[in-house]
Order: sequence, then structure tokens, then C-alpha cells
Amino acid sequence: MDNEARLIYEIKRGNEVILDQIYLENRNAFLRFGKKMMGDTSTLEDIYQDAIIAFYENVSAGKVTTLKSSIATYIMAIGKFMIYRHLRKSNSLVMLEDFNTAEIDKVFYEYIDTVKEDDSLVLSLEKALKKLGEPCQTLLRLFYYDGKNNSEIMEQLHYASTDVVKSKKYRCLQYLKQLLKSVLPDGR
Amino acid sequence: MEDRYGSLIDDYLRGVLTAEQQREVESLLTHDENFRKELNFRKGTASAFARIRHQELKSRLAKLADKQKQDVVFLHPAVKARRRIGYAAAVLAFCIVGLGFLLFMKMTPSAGELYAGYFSAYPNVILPLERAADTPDARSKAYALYEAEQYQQAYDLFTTLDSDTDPEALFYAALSAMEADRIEDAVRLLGNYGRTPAPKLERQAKWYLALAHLKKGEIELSKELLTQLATSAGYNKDEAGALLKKLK
Repeated sequence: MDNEARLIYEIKRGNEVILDQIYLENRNAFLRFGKKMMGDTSTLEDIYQDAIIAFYENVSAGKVTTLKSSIATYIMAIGKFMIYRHLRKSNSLVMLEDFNTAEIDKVFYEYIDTVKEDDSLVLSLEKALKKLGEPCQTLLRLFYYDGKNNSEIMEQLHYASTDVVKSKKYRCLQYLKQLLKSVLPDGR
Repeated sequence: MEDRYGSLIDDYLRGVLTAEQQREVESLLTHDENFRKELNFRKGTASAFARIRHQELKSRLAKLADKQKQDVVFLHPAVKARRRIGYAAAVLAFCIVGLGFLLFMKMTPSAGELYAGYFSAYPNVILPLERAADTPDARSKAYALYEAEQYQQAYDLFTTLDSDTDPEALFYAALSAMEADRIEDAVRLLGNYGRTPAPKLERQAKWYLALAHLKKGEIELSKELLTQLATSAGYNKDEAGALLKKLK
């Protein structure tokens, strides 16, 4: 197993130390590259961290199983896309359309849009989820974030049947809706 | 709204609908306000979980960034400062002798300056401090000392560890030796580490061995290792290429 294959294997195992390693190994090269496109070093560092996490999370979730190029090339392409995206939002003369979308997998854009967009419903749900107790938080996270199916959740949380999982999931969602009402700005 | 559409929405979010179900969803999205709200709620829940996880990892990296002292620029500040003094001296000389034309002075960094510019301690990626805190055995102490930049003590402890069970201890012993200005020891240890079966930090070891040879003035040995790194993908490929150019 070569070094990159080992890193991918470790990411899929959930080894967060690998995140640190990838971060440290690619940081200087990325910042040098990014400084050619924008001067704000703290924003660049922020973008770099987002790019690393986007890579880590999508590999970890199994959405990216094989790499078309090296990890460093991936990180650079994701970061470049995010720099374009940032510059477009700050009304710079850069067009996001100029970015060659073939450079990275579609899942990366989707992930970046998900975690960077400031949708008010999502922001309120984030607050509500933090108030949600156990086992609801774990059950919903397993389903809506980790992508586990009812059978897998049944085994992991030791429920009697998948019907129990469905029923508990439904009740947890109803409870989440109540919490959502309490955190929505206008109390809807 | 009862959970009558729950499974349909969840399958939609997972992208596992049949063509017929897909059409049903599209129709419901157009005509059924409650369905649309429920879908947005569940989709938003998935996004909110992703944001929470992203923030957790971001917080981890932010802590790492705080610890990271490497500068983006190529040269170490001390080297840059020496260069600035050199330029100032050149300007002064220009004034004294009254030369009538602009003097441009280009300074070529020495091997020692290049070493200072390129060397920075490799981070502890084997046993992070927070995990080591509860298990104060010799191994944990060695990595903790390394992170605390107490390199001589870290070196002393790393060299007592069993390299069969923790081969990376050889690598970190070598890095500690470099920081403690024990270059001969560093060269020996990095060589030993490179000969262990499947070293995890093989490229990193080559990089630091190249720097150690550079420090010793063994330019050809350094160039040989840098060429290996610059011509294959992975850790510090570009850095090795850049340093190689400066040595040619």
C-alpha cells in the first residue's frame, strides 16, 4: 500500500490525525499558490482549512472512493474553486465559470455549498440540533449525516427492529421541529 | 403532517428513487406545500449536521494552525534579516565610495542559509499531545517534549524507545537531533529509519536527510535525495524542486 492509499484508508477508518497530517503537508504550497490570487492571508488560511475538511469529509463518507490525481492536487483544486467562489462573492472581477469544473468531483462543490451557505433554516436547525438530547441526536445523525440505513442503525443502537428505528426517527423529527420553532428568529 | 411521505423524502435525499418515485416527488414539490416544507426540513437537517461536523473539524485545524509556526514565505525571518543587513551595507558602501551608478547586489544564499530557510520541525502526527496526556509513559513523554520544543530531552527519550514497536520514534529522534544541532546523529537515525519495513514517513525522512546533508556541506548527497523527491509525487515535491534549483 503506497503512502496515499494508506492515507485514504486511514481517513475512511475515521483517523482524524490524518487530517492534521494532510493539513500540515500541503499548507505552505497552498498558501503560496493562493497568495497569487488574493492577498488576505487570514481568509486564505480559512479557505485552506475548508478545502482540507471538504476533502477529508467526502473521502470519509465514501463519496469519493478513488482519486484521479494525488491528494495534493485535489486539495489545490478544491481550494482554487473556493478562492474563485470567495472572490465572486466579494464582487471581485473573477467569474466562477472560469473555474474548470472537471478539476474536482461534483460532491466537493455540493459539500462546500452545504457548509458555506448561510440558509436561515439550516442555521436555525443547527441551533435546534445542538439542543436535541440523546438518543435522538445520534439516531438522526446516523441517518442524515452518516448515511446509515434503518438496519444499520438498528444494529448500532441495539433496537429491536427496523420498525422501532422508523418510529423513533419520526418522533425525534417531531421533537426537532418543536425545538426549531423555539430557535427561529420570528418564533414560527 | 403524518410520516406518510417520510420514506419517500429520505430515499430522495439519498438519491435512491425509482424513475416513477422521482416523478411523484417532482409533482408533490409543485403541488403540495406540506411536502415541500417537510423535504426542506429534512434536507436542512442533513445540511445542519454537515455544518456541525465541519465546525468541529475546523476547530481542530484552527488549534493546529495556532501551533504551526511555519511562515508562508520561503526564507526564515533570521535569514531575511541578514539579507536586509547585507543590502543596507551595500547601499552604505555605495554612498562612501561615491559610485555614480546604481549598484545592484544579488546575494546567493549559502548552504547554511538554505538549511535555515527550509528547515522547520516536522509536526507530531503520531501521538498528539491531547491523547498522550492520560498515558504518561516514556513514549508519550517523548512526543510531549518534542511538541514542547525541548528537543535535547526529547532526543534522549526517543532514543530509548523500542523502534520495532514504534519505528517513527527513530524519525522523531532524528528531528530532535537536528533541532539540537546533532546533525551526525540525525543522519544516522534517518538512515536507520529509512531501512525499517514500510516507514510511514519515508518521504519526510528523505527530505530531512537531504537537509541534514546540506547542513553538513554534503551537497551532492543532498541533491541526490532532493532529485528523488522532486521527481515523484508526494510530500514536499515542489519544495524539493525549488531547493534543488538553488543548489545547481
